[in-house]
Amino acid sequence: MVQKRFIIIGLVLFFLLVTVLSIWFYASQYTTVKFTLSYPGATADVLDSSNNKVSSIKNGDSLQLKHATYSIKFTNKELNDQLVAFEVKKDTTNFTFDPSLSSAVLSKQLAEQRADIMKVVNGTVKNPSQYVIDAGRLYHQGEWYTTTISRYELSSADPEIGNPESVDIYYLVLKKENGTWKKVAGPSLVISKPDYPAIPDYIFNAINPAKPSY
Amino acid sequence: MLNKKPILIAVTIFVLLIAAASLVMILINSQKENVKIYVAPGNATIKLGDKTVAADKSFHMDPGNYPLIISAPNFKTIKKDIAITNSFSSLVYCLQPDNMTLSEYMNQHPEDRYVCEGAIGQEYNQDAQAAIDKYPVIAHLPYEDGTFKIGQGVAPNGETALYVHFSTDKSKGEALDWIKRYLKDATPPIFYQGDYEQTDRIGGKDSEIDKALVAKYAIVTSLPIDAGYYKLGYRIDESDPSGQSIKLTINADTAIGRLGALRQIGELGFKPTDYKVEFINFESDLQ
Repeated sequence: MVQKRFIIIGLVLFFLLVTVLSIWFYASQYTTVKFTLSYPGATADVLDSSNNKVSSIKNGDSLQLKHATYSIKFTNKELNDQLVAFEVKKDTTNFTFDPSLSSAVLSKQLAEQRADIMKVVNGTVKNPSQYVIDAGRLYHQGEWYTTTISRYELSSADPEIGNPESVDIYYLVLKKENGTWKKVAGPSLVISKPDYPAIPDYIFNAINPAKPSY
Repeated sequence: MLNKKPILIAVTIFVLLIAAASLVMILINSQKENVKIYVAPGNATIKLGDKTVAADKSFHMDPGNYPLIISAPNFKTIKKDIAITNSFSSLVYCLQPDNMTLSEYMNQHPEDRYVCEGAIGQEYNQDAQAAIDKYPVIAHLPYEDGTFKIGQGVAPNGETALYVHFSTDKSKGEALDWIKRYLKDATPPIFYQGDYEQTDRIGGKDSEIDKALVAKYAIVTSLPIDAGYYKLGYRIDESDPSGQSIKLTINADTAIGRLGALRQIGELGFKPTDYKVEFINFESDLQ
């Protein structure tokens, strides 16, 4: 009789131990992460590695996610919907995503702001009419602008065609601050990251003179 | 009864061997070359004590004080007393021409610039040591930065002087700043010559500064590149007081040369925008 009681107690303790270990093991595979979306009213879907939707989130939401790689896709129409991957690990508790506007929205904004931008761009060149100033591009949420300035000359071998490699290409970076466009760097053949650490990397990628100009 | 004869023979041979070895060592040491005299011009006659000695060749002199006379036709004769010790001494003398400045002479005789600027490696003579004590900058010479070169030489009055070869006015100022870093109380005469052709490289491939920079900037292992229509190199960025930052230098007088250099950086696997870049022989036509 006593022996049976011990067996029952032993079994209960065993199952309790298994349960506790299972809970601990399960919990150790998950982390609660908080999402910061730095765009007003931004919403996004969190997708797993097979691009299946795990959850929808907005700025400040928290999710308990299993340790794995996920991606985020912004669902606002005006935002770039390109997937951005992120990995949840034991120690990661916060993710901040800084979305860019879609190309269509940036192009529309550029057209609207072109006159203001060109006033600043033309101010950087003594005789703007002698140069070809590219339409340029806006970046991120429309606050960064880059363009190239160059003076194309006709090819000496064939006066009917221009020779784009016979001229220097200058790069120029502007930023809109407090509603006003201001020159940040250039026009220069190279705008250097060590000289302008505040310029984001995606701008430096865009103005890399080692690749053909846009 | 122990036979003493073999023992005596062995001891005698041992003592003789020791004596012979000592004698050889003394002879070797007494004939050890301990002096070498570099001189410009090369046809100068060198008299040390009562010996006439050849330039650029090591020889032995017993330790002591000797009168030294170096003379050559159309040059001012150097007469001085020097002290010779058993340790090796390299003596460097550059005679002052009678009818032109030393700078003019060196321009006409670049082969003698090597001697006159003291660019003979790391052998110091007593005069050099005294000069270093007075002007510590000399211990760091010769120094080459890619846009200027500083060497030690002799002023027309026979005093120690520095010779700065620069490429641009800017590099002339940078050379002076570099010299000032290592000056103590006295400033030697400094002679400037705007004849430096940029090499766009710092130090030698194995110099300490290059080793440190390679660790920080992998691109320097691929530089300099001379493609004919552009030269791509690097030099110390003087705006960083630590001396551990570089600028890439692109020397091209055509747009296609500059573009070629920039694309070359990309082909090496680097981004020009990650570096400060200085264009030489280029002036922006925008402003």
